[in-house]
Amino acid sequence: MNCNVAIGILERMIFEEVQIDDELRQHLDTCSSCSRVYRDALKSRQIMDHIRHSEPLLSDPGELTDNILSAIQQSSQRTPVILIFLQRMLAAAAVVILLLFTYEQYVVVRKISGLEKHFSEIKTDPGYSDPLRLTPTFDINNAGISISEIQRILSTAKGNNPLSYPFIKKRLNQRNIK
Amino acid sequence: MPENLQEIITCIRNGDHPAFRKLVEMYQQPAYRLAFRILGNEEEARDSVQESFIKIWQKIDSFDPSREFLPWMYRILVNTSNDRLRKLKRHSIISIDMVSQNIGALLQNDSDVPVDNHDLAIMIKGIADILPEKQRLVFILRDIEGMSSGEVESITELNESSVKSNLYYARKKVRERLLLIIEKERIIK
Repeated sequence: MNCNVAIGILERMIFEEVQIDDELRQHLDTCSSCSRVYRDALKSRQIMDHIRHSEPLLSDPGELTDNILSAIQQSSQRTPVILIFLQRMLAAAAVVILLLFTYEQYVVVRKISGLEKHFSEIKTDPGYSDPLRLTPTFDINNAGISISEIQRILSTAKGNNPLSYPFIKKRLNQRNIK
Repeated sequence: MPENLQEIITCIRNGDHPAFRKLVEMYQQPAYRLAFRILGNEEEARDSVQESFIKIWQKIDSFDPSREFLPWMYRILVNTSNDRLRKLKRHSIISIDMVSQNIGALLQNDSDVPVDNHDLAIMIKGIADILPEKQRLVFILRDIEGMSSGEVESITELNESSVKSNLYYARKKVRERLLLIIEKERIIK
């Protein structure tokens, strides 16, 4: 038997039941290094056996049992009250969250519809030389001004051609103004 | 009063306190032994057992009666003890000198003489505190509690190869630790 095999067996010996056969015994008799490993393994085994066989004893087990039972009795009595309270709190929280959400939706929808209405009623002020400055005071349909006049005002504007603005184009297209 | 474990559990599921008392009386000592070996501390082990039994009472409806009760119970105990161990580990350091002195005295005694809880705690902590959580747990269940691989798998919810590899590395580290302790003990002598 070589030392590697012997040491493998001796290391297992610390944790498991291992049979020391004659071959190993002969090797231990002749190899001082493995013999030292064997002595250490025996000591290690002894320590492990002490730990394994020493039963840590529970002091006053009756008191522990009583403590456990009294804790579960208290929890059994308290649970329904706590549950009812929690249920009510959860229900109230759900209602508050729902109301907040509904109110938020209402505000958003109201703002969006207000904006839509505002943009749909945008009017231009004929007094302005710059038609880019649209004001909500000019109603194309009821201003008593001809379509060709509007086109003239827009086309003589300074700066960029206002007709390039998609918004103005859209409003004019809605009224079939080319 | 039911004597059989299945009957006891059925009664507990119906909210029967005396049946639960019976269960606590039956298993508090083995539960304490395991908690003590995990925690290496008497008070913490006692608190862990108490907390675990309260959890068992609260969770008994989630226990599948077609399965074995003990691995389920030990799983709760192990998880509770591990949670406590994480908090405890920050404060507890056992020096190798202290372990060596303790073991020196112990080795002179007969192995049949029971070791008191304090000395046992020093020895367990001395060799197991160096291990990471999973290795420590597998080592304690397999090599100190003497459970089978199947039982360890069931309690730790680790698969077979994971249990094997954790045990392999744990034993390697414990062996090195034991040699160090023995070496120190020789010097002290």
